[in-house]
Amino acid sequence: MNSLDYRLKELLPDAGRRAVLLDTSAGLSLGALPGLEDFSTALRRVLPRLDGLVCSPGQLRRLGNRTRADAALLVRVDWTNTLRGPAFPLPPETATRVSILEADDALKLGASGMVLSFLLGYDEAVEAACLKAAVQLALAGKDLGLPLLVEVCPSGPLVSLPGKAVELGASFALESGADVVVVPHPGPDSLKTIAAMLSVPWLLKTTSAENSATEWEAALGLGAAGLWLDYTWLGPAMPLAELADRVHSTHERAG
Amino acid sequence: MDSGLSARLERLFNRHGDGRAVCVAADHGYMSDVTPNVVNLRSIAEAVVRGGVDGILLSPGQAIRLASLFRGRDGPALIVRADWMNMPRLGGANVTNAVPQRHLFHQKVLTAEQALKLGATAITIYLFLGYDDRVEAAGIESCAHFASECRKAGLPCIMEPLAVGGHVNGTNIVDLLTLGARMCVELGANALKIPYTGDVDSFARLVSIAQVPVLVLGGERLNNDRDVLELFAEGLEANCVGCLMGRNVTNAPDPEKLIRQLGKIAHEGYSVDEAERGWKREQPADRKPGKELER
Repeated sequence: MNSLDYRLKELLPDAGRRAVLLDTSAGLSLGALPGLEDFSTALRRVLPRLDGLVCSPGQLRRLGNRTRADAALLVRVDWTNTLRGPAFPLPPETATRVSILEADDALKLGASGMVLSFLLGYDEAVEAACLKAAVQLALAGKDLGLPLLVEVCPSGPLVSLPGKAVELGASFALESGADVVVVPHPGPDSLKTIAAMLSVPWLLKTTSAENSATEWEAALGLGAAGLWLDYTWLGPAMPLAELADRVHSTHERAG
Repeated sequence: MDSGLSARLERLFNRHGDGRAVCVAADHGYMSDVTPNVVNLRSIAEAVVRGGVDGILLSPGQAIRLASLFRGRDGPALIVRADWMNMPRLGGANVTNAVPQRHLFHQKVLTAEQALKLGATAITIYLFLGYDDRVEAAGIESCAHFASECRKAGLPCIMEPLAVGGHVNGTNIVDLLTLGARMCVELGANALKIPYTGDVDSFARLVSIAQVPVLVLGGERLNNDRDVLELFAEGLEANCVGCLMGRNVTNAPDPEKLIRQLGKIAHEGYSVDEAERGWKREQPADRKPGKELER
């Protein structure tokens, strides 16, 4: 087994159990996330129940004293202001994304993988920059043995067909060399197309907590490698303890 | 000539000793909306390899994933798409256009050295003419950089001039393609991938002006396989050295069969009728020798 496969195994357990990854990196753009004000203490309880935890580079450095039972750590390698809405204290004037970490920096941080957003529906230059970054990180990751996870984010105003846009983003991620693709639930037909197209492991990001159960079931039935929980799962509506329970029950159901 | 460049040109264009190549472009998932040929890429790639294809054009990610298809001396040549553009998604008229694009965007994505590490025998890049001055100038700069990198790496650079945009119309498109062909050669292209101009005479003039091997492409899927074979036969009549066809092969009902038929026309001197029939009455004098590889 090469080092890339070895690191992938840290995130994606063997067949029979599906992975659950939690993305906490939105703090890069949104500041302290509800419930994660004391980042390392708050996550300590849930860490053994997750398979992967996505962090900003700074928070990844602060998560020490991990044991072999804890989740693998992944690092966010880009920054975007597109998570901010109009009510945010610093609303975005134009959609922007920049790279914040190279692949060898991610390896030195001890990450088991890199996470990149693939933004669709914004300015043409934003999409082009995402594609170029994905290709370059995938190639660098192959050299270093570090997997690249690409999160498809068709959130821009130019998106005219949301389900098809997810298909497009998943295709771009695959063709760029992603080792794992994260897709928001695109609707049943597009989900089937994506499942048939992707020849790499893929994770589902559900549209909401209310729809999560049915969307998870459908995705697992189509061969999803696991579930991706973003920052919207954090906070008062879904305290970490409850989140941990849900993760646990998901593992049991999928096992 | 640099030995690496020479060896790779031979691998691509002289697999059958005739200076010709039948190649398939399978990089659509890198730039277009998702269609069945994108979803079923692996099975289509396996089919065209069984059909005897001489080269396959892939995106960097698929080049990694489908690397096993290119192994061995019987394997086809890997051609890697080294740039990226959004042209197929321009405008909102197409109902399947999930994320319509307002402006043409074209960029260099890979270096020649990175393409070599992927196992490439050649790379392809676009040159857009007719959109606006900025896009044309950026394309020239990009092609010039690629040509320089490829020369240093010993990697054949296949340039693809395309006439797209508001300055293109029915009366000037052949002139623009002919202009683009020559501009690419002046920039350092080792070969060209170019749309058929619609008739043998104008395409023969383009090929003659190009002075490097020319691969004809098919564009949008034609009505049926016979139209594809006829287009290719006309291209050969105009002295192109082969084809680099995408959707006309990958969306064909039977890509393996179509590649086999194209190969019969290119390498065994079959007519279109004979290729469709699958056998040829032996007439050695009919055999049209391939064009000697330009260096």
